[in-house]
Amino acid sequence: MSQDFDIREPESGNVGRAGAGLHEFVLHLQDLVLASSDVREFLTDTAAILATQLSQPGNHLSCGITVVRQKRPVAVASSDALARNQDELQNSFGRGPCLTALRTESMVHVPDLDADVRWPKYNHAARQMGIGSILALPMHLHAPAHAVINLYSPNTDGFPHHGIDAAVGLAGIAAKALDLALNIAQLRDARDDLAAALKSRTVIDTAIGAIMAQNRCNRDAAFEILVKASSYRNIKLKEVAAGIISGIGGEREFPTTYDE
Amino acid sequence: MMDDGGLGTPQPAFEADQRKFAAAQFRSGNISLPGLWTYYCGIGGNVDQLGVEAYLHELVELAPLQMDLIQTAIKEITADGPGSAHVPGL
Repeated sequence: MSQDFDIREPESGNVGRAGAGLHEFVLHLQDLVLASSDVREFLTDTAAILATQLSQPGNHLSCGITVVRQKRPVAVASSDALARNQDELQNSFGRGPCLTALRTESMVHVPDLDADVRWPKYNHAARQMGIGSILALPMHLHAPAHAVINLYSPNTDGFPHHGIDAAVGLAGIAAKALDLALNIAQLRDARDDLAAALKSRTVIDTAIGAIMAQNRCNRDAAFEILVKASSYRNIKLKEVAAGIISGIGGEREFPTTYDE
Repeated sequence: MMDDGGLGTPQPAFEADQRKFAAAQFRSGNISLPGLWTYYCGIGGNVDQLGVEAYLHELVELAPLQMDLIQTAIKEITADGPGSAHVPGL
């Protein structure tokens, strides 16, 4: 039997200074998953604690996180204005280390922006804004989404080997928390959609009954009448239905009890 | 009949066209299948999610009313405009 789980001991020293705060970092992330009301809020707080955790005296890091989900707006969050400006700058160029990390799902390290030849225009602009080096770490997710953590240092060579190892370690932990947060958000959205559907269907079914009685027709025929009315007048089906009901019974509110 | 897309006729001529039209709108509309199905169910649709998916892949026919309701659902969802942001190149 092959072991399909990882039993390697974490190499001491690799997690560096973060090792001491690792336990707290995990607890903090768990609290964020539980407390955040949406994904963006979770990302903003995560970016802030990543920046704090990985910064060293004399090397204050800024952190931005970008998450791309299918059929959803892109979520962007950052620990401070500098990281936000950097992410926006890169999006305006359409290319750069962080976008490359996002697309290729592999780590991109720019130790010295002046010496790097891969993205000359972007590097120059970032240099003007006081950035010396960049580390972009993709987050490996189970959810159908892509995410990247962008770390910006004001110094050249701001990410020595132990710094990179620490960042990779924390990114792996943050990815699990993000997976959970995305799952919860998706379930919450699905629940909201279902609650809205239940409400809308109550109104429509009531109107269908009224049309059936008035036109002495079956359900399908009543539906066709409602669909046609909505299409010709370019008003939503639910609103046409609500209009029919209030025309007969005078009701304007249609309470639907939906307890969780 | 080839649709050159130039005239953008919203009313399809017959059922096969309606299906093709719905499939194309679904693909271009940035709508998730569970989201569409939930909305369609909310306006009175009776076909399950698998059936709707098969229809949108142009594999099965549905009753005219169900096709109309799917069409209505797509139209109403896209009119609300999810307005998805976009990272260039992705």
